[in-house]
Amino acid sequence: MSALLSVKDLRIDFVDRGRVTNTPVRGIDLEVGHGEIIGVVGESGCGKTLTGLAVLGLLPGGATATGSVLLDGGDQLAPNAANRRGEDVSIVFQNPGTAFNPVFTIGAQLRNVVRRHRDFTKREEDAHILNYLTLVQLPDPARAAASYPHELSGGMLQRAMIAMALLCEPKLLILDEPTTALDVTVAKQILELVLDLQRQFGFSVLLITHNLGIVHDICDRVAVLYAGRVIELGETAEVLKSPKHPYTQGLLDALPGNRDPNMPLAAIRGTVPSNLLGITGCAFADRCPLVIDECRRIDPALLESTNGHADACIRTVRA
Amino acid sequence: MSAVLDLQDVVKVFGTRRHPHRAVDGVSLRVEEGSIFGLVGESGSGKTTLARCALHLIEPTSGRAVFEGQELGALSRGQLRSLRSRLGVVFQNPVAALNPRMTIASLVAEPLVTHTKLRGSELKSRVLELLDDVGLGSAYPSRLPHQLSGGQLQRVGIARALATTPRMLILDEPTSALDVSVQAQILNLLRELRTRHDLTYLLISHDLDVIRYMCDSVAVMKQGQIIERGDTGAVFGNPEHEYTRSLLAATPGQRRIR
Amino acid sequence: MTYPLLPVVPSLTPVNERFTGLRHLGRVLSRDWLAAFGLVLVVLVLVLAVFGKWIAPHPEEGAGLANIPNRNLAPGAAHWFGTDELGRDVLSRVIIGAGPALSVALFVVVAAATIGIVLGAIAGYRGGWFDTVIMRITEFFQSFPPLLLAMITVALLGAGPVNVGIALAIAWWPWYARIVRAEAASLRDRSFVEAARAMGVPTWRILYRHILRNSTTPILVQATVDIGTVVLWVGSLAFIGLGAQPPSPDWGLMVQEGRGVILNRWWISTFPGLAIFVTVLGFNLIGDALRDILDPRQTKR
Ligand SMILES: Nc1ncnc2c1ncn2[C@@H]1O[C@H](COP(=O)(O)OP(=O)(O)O)[C@@H](O)[C@H]1O
Ligand SMILES: Nc1ncnc2c1ncn2[C@@H]1O[C@H](COP(=O)(O)OP(=O)(O)O)[C@@H](O)[C@H]1O
Ligand SMILES: [Mg+2]
Ligand SMILES: [Mg+2]
Repeated sequence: MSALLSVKDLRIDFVDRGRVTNTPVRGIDLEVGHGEIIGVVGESGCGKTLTGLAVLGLLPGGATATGSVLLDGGDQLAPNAANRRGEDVSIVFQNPGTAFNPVFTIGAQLRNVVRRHRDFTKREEDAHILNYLTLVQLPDPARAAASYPHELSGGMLQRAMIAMALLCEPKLLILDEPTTALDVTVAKQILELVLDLQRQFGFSVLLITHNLGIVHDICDRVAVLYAGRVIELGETAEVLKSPKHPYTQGLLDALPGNRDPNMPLAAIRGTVPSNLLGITGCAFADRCPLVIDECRRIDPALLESTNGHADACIRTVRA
Repeated sequence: MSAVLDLQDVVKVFGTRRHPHRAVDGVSLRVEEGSIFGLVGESGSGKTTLARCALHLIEPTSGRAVFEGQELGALSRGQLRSLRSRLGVVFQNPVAALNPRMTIASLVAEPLVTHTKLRGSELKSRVLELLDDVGLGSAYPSRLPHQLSGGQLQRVGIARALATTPRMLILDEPTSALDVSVQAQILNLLRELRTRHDLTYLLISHDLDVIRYMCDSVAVMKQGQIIERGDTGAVFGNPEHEYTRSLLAATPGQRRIR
Repeated sequence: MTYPLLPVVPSLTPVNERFTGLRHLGRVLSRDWLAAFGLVLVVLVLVLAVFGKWIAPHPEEGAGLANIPNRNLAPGAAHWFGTDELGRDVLSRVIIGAGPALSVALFVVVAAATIGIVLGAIAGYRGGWFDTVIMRITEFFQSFPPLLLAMITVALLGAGPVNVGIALAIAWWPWYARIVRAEAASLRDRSFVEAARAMGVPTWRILYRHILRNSTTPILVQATVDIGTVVLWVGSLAFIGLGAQPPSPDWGLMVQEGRGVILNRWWISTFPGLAIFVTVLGFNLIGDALRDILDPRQTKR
């Protein structure tokens, strides 16, 4: 079976007056299988959201993408990719409070989406919308449809957002930090809902998060992003249990959960570089505890070592 | 052991008389000398409001906040001002908590100018010393906040809070706006500073892992009230309240649900 | 595990925009020819105000000395703007008039802004009864037409440029008070102001460093535009006999002096009138440009 989504050597440049000002995504390779939940993790600024937007075919102004993003055979980087948005792929953003337009009811905004993709009568539209608001387990779907965004809590809005994303039965659902703005208990319910719907409909999920705990809880596979590249990729359990790249190791070690309170946390020193223009060698070299001279010269490719587990560290290449 | 900060039945009501909203609803807690006291709860549970009452940035509707044996509400403006040099605070959002038009050096100098007689080159060297103390090198003093990352800004926030050699810091979600990697740096820094300067912390967070790692004792807040409290190990190891259990269960990273 | 919230970036312009501001100024001027035109006008008026004595062809006539043999000459090679009923060179009168016009305007704007900034900042920051009282007072002042208010004040104090300045400052400060109050009230609850309070920073210092320094843009823009407007009001008061008295080289007074003969000897009123117009236009255009330069948020729209 071929993959549903296949991203090959995706690069995203920001161009201002003919000059490239930044290249926040520098050659991402990623495949998502049918019905798979894949996690994309990394610190903020690593290019997670931009990658998601490229898959959606919706890059911000000034950004140009090269490489290929094939979704079910269709080219998402082609100019007409926007037509398929909502049909084949849709997205749920981090902040449900700002993702909805405050001056329209939830129902009206869902109806807009249905109209763009389906040729329904008004009654069919109503039924369709209500059906999906019920699916996302909103306690009173009819009332939610008639509500304005500010009348719903963050958790309820995120449910409505998920309903909107699923209205046209996409094959791929992108979730960009879907629970970051929510409390833990609400977040957990939202994730459980996504799993539930995924079992029902069988769509694939690209889950963007910086939370390795969430990845652990629900993802089949995980891609670790650093400075616009996938630096480690594999089965979730495998990657979290025996990470190969020092960056992945660093992210895991930095977590305060179940640490000995008498020992300092193993923090990664420094921060994500804010501009990747003109970087040579491994972008993580400056922060890496295991850096060697070669790291400054060679930017290692993502290399599969054991079954499906790949990483982009020079020590793996040489091993 | 004696309590550095002692909150007694603090109540803060917002809203109108007809629609009162008890954001803090009768909270008492004692933060012992040298300890790290954790305050955990979901957003809107009243943690920040309680901190503001403890600092007398807002007046509690009723109840008392006592710091080093002095009741804040009974102090004169001058006394309250000088007390502020011994009770520092670090805010959740380091970007918002720093005046965007002031350089890092003048931001760190502000509490020193307020509370000490240091001026000129002495002031400057103390500022550098403080920046060094929080792990910021000499490249930063002349920069503006928007030229620093979130983690660096939070270090500046901590340097300011430390400037007047306080006895206690109230830390309101100091790492919630930061990546885990940077969070680890800041938590380590806070622990180091505590040992180096004999500090007492009231650490507010919605993150149970952070509280568990950092704190000696903890209070769980819900809807303005403390519903459970005790030693961190006891509360997290054997939670008595249903709500605490649900918070613990919801923390991701424990159990696969797919 | 954590659920970090993304930091909210405050919408204030950082101070170093001042440096990029100069570069920005160049860009604004080259793109926005109206702003460039405004700058030319303002520079012209300023140069005349400062160096008028040396530029005017007949400075002593400009100051008021009559030259009866030359009365009522039409504009020509010898007198570009013609001469008035007392034979004075109108060009020199207009040039010498720039100094007093701008000094009064500057005085009014500085005085009004000072009063308004102090009262507005305290009102906005403190709130409560002080705020209510100050705002009621500003409303009271603003409910009068400013010219009427100034007229009443001048009538009480007596005519003359100094009293005109005082009168206009009294009519003007409420506008500054309201601008600053609005800024102060919105900055008051910002986290960095609360942080300063938590550190025990004295109130006056918070007002200066954290409130005023973050509200300079609207104050500067308003003050720039107001210089032009005040010149117009000063002229108007002189026109109705409440400002400068003859033989002062006041633009409004000069318009008034030529009013009776406007159909026959149009130049006597027209050129000082144009001087007022040019000043108002110049400062208005510069005010708009300043808003764009100091407040990049609006430029981007
Ligand atoms: N609209 C934009 N204009 C310019 N640079 C951008 C824009 N959006 C993102 N970037 C840059 O791309 C990098 C990656 O951004 P993003 O994909 O949002 O990261 P993440 O989602 O991993 O936090 C950032 O460092 C940012 O500087
Ligand atoms: N200045 C205020 N005016 C009115 N209500 C407020 C104010 N500050 C906080 N609240 C309310 O008080 C409750 C507690 O808020 P807060 O103390 O910020 O909670 P937490 O810090 O635990 O997230 C919330 O419901 C909030 O809406
Ligand atoms: Mg993002
Ligand atoms: Mg809070």
